[in-house]
Amino acid sequence: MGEKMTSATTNWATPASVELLYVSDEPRYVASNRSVRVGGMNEWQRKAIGKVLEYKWQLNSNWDSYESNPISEWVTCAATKLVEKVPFDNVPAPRVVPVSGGGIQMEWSKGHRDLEIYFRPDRTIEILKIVDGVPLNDGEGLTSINLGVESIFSWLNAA
Amino acid sequence: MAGDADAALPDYANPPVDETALSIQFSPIPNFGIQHYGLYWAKVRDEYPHFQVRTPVPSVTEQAESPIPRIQLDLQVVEAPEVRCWYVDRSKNRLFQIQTDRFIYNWRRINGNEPYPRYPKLRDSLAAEWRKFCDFLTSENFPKPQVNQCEVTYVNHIEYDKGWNGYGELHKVIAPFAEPGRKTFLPMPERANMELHYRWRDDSGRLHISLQPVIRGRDGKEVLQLTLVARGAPKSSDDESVFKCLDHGREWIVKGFADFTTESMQRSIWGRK
Repeated sequence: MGEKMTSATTNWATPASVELLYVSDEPRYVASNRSVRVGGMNEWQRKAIGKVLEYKWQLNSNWDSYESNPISEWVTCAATKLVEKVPFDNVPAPRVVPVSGGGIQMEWSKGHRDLEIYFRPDRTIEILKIVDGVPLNDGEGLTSINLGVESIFSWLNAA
Repeated sequence: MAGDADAALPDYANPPVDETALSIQFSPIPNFGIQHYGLYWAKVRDEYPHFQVRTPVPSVTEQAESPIPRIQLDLQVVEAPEVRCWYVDRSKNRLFQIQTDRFIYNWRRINGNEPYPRYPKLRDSLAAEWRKFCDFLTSENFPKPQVNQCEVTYVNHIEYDKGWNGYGELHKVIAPFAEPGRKTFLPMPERANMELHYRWRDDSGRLHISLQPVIRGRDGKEVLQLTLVARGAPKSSDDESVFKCLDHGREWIVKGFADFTTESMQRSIWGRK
């Protein structure tokens, strides 16, 4: 991430491992503006991250006329980090939408399977797996520090 | 003085700079704790009404023998959590950052239309804030900081489709890329990442240049980010030496940028005078 060169700038912390998603909004650079390095990413990842940051940039308070907050720093970090960590190229591009309250929802569809991931401003991530329009779970609540990214997208890719 | 030397340096009407950071690194101030960050905010709050707490940036020291600077590792036993505090002005364009071993002054674009205020002005602002901070340390019976490194960072965002069209035309942006028309086995690169390190002629520091595609946080737009970091050791901790070192670093950045990027981009896109 270039820490050796810049000694510190605003980006996020390194994940504990490929399998774990460690979400932190703590940048370690002297520069304060945030940017996400996308050199090794594929097209869908770059577009999804661009959309998340665009919402973060564009949506002010009350953006939905229901007094929703802007997209929070944590939500931005979590959504970006998750997209960065998906270890497959053959994942379809997700639909990225803001949700009331200041969260982000990402939706992937492949074959009969849909995957919806909600990044909530209360620092929770919720995952919904859907097969033929029927949810498999009731919103699988996960802590923000332990998320098996590979297994979730393996499930989607198995469609 | 930065102002005198400035006339000899390349200047641009529309420089692609997105952020600059001027950093003074010193030996950790013993017993400087969370209460002091708050006390200091009380002194500057009128001008810097926004406050944020961040994780400290690591201490970095240039090594004579290696182009990779030494980063002091974060693994340490501490009695209280270490923090870095941001003091942000009303416009959010300017902020300074304090941690137990660094003082950093930043200017950044927020909406993208702000004119770059130029180094001499930022240097003066850093000098004023640094003096205020040193006065505060004295008033709280802390010793004067023992400065060990000065660092100048320029983050430039080079937008796509302005003077070049994709990574196959990187030679239109980056001067050292030669023979653009040569027939090769390899197709045009999709994207490129690069790091270069240059030793200062007097061996007191280095210029580091990095190049990578990024998605810009403030608008979600993909750009080519060209970051220049000049870091070196001042001869002593007195203000004259510290600011001389910062000026030297800035000179390397400006001249380095002019060498590293093409004249056509400088003239047609960034308005080199």
